[in-house]
Amino acid sequence: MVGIILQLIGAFSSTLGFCVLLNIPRRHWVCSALVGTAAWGVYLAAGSFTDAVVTLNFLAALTAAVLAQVLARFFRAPVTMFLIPGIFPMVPGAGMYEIAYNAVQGNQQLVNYYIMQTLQIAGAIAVGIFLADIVQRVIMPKSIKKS
Amino acid sequence: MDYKLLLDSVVMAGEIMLRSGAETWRVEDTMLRMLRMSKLKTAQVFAMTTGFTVTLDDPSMDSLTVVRRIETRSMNLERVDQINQISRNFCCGDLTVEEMFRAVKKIYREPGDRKAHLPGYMILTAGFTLMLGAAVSDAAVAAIAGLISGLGVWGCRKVGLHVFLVNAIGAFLIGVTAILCTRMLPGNYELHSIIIGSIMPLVPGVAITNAVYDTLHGDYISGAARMLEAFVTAAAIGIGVGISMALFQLI
Repeated sequence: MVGIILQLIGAFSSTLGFCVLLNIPRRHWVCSALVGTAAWGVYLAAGSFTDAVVTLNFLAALTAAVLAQVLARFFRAPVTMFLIPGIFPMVPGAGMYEIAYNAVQGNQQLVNYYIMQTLQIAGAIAVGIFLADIVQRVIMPKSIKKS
Repeated sequence: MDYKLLLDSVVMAGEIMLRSGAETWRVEDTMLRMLRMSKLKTAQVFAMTTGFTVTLDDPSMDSLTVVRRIETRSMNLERVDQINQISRNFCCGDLTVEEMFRAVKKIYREPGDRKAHLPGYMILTAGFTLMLGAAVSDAAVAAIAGLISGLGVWGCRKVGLHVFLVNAIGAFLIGVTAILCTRMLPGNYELHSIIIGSIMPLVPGVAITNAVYDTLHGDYISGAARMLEAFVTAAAIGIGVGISMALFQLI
């Protein structure tokens, strides 16, 4: 339990740090960081049911995307403001690093493995975002044109 | 309406957005919406990650076309937000062309991001290491590594080094700091988690996700360009960390 709370604190602070680096306006910092924390919470919770990385990332990204859409509407800000920090905990940065590092070291098998895994994770996150975007467009088509 | 002024401000807005790392479809969409306010027959925008071209045409006048090349890109969502706000106000009719031009020009003239954001780096790297399930002591080392790489990256950017070198140097500094700290300081550390957490500010995780998203969206050119950019960045980081590891294996 302590481990999970520490991980959530970690998710919150890393997302917060990312907000600073992205130059997100200060008034949105806490909300953006909470989106990332919630997504990581879903990732951890779903992790106790399945080990499939793609499914976990998809669910977490979907959570982040839906929350980002709602917050963007509420604060009248672009969705990206909450979405990019929101998906930060899941994003396959480590995978990209492993690809390059193992390529430098000459471990061809690991390179192939990480390329596949990274593209799968990136794909899962992208589909999650895409799905939330489409649903949002279907549910509220008119309010977009007016705003 | 002064079409030349409108086109000028739209071009500036597009340039700011692309330079601040906005998606190409968003740039095209924003520019098109603003151009449509002219009520001219043809308004077309074609944007890529590395530049864009805009045309405004009508039977009643000569056509106006502008091409812009975008050299450098770095994430700055605040600027994207500001331009977004201006374009919304303009399209609602709250701003005239002259007011919009002045507002965009003001943002355009502002110098880019010169701050080092060191606290941001530290919170990010420490947080990410914690998030991976590492101990608090590992997170503390990651914060130090993040601080040093943040300083290094900031310094290199000030000097104006090429992006590839900046990333490689940042990653090299992380490798050296992490290895030195884990060897010199008392206690047990997990070097792998520390390094993964510390390289997070440099690593193109968001870039690769955006690349896949762009591709799904139908923007094949910018999707492919971003994907290539992400792999080049990753290569720089891999080389940087690889060199630092090799160095310590030799010693």
